[in-house]
Amino acid sequence: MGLDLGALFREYHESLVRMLTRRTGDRGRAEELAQETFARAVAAPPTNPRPWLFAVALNLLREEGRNAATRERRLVLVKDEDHVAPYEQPDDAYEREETRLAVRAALAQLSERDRDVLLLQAEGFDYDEIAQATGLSRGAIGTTLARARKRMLEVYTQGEGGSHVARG
Amino acid sequence: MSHVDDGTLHELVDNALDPATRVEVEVHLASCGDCARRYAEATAMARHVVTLLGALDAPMARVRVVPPVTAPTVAPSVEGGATVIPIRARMTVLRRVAIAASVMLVAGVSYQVGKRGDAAPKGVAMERSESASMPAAPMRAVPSVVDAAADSFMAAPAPSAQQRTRSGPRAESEIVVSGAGANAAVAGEAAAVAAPVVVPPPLPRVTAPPQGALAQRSVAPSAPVDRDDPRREQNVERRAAMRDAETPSQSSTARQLASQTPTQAPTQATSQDVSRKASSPETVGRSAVAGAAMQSAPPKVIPLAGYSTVESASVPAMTRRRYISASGTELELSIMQSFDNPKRSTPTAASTPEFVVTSANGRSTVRWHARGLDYVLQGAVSPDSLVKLATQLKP
Repeated sequence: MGLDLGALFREYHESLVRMLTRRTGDRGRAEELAQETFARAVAAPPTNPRPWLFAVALNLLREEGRNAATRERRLVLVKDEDHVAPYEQPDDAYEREETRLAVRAALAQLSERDRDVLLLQAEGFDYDEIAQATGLSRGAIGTTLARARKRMLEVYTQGEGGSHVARG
Repeated sequence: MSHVDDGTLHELVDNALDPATRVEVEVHLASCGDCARRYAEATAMARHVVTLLGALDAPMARVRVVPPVTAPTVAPSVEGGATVIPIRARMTVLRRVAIAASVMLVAGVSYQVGKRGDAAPKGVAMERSESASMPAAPMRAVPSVVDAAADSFMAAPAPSAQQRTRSGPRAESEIVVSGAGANAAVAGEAAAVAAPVVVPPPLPRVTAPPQGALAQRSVAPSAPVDRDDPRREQNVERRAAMRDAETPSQSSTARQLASQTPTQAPTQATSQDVSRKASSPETVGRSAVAGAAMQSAPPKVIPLAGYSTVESASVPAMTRRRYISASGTELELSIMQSFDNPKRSTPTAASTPEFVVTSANGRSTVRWHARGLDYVLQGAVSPDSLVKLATQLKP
């Protein structure tokens, strides 16, 4: 296999885990998804790794979300031991935690597509790469980003100004 | 040109416009205060969003890139196809003890080697003492010792001296033996050598050698040359190679110390021999090749009681296996080369099984770390059962 997984891993793992952590709010889950993504890269070596890896990771996340939603409908009682222990402990500063929750809440208000585009752009993706990773047309990226940024800041500012309920 | 739409403004902010459009937009912005203001807003928004997203980050793992030539990413195999690579883990009390002990041992080596009055090994000794005792270069010196200590606890059971010798490129067993021998000679001033003695001798030249003197003494052991020698640069390179070659030597020293096994009989190899060996391009080349070869050798399949292995796939740096029980419960095991993630490098000692367990929606995950590899076992079983299964897999 002509794929140097080690190099791929070193180059993209950190960025991928960061994006997934931002997206899920759960570092442990982000690492698992990243691991699964790299495993898929082994099975089908991508020619253009970065957009490919992020696209696969986001698909896995959606897939997982659907399955989880199905399971949740069936589950009447969630056992105590099944509580998801947050892999990452909240930072010492209360304020920082407040900001984190407010940002999460703001991000949660965006459509999935807007959220993905925003997160990919924050990882340094150019518009072509964002288009490849999301399946959007290149021409739509600017408009999507404009809308996503505006919406996110609106929600965030509203939350900051008053009685926002942080949704994690 | 009419007013610029939001999408185009954000494309300008992100430097995503084609050159012609960009010029057109910029010309318009120069003459339209409204659009210029919107452009400034868009720029601020883009920055603000990136900053806010940063608030969501958990502390990131540091991915350590191992130099490709002098240290293969995956060290040669020791047992059963498993691999050992040094990890930089959090320092525990045990590791601190091991580090302190190895520093003392290294100091002992340097003192004795210096005492022989041999010009060439003196260079080696000074190099070592520099990295062992000078806080001025913590980035260079301390982590290698930490690695060594960590390695010593990760590698269980410690490979025999013979195995380590066979692993060739690291050339570390020779270094250990000669070091231990030298140290024992300090204690007894005798030829007959037994266990390594940890009592440190006084360190006359070790503590603060003048930098100039240090540099002069630290020429390559096999070729002491003048300052003006045209080969000086080459010597500097060799010295760098020697420094790199020191890491495994300390690693092995610490391992030997930690396992508390009496040293094997000393070989004929001197520090000088070893240094020359370790720094020769030929050895380095072999080491890289061996490392590359090892990456493709997967860890051996460990059977799980009550489960059969249905699939096992390996690529460099990663192995995945699926186990299935008679009742159809599937488990998935991923083994990945460790990338210096303190969160995943949890064990404090080889004998202490330590697992990180998470569970959600009836599916559990157990992670652990052993011998430079990260293990992740997942399955739709209770966390307790999964930990029991993981215990079987933990070497």
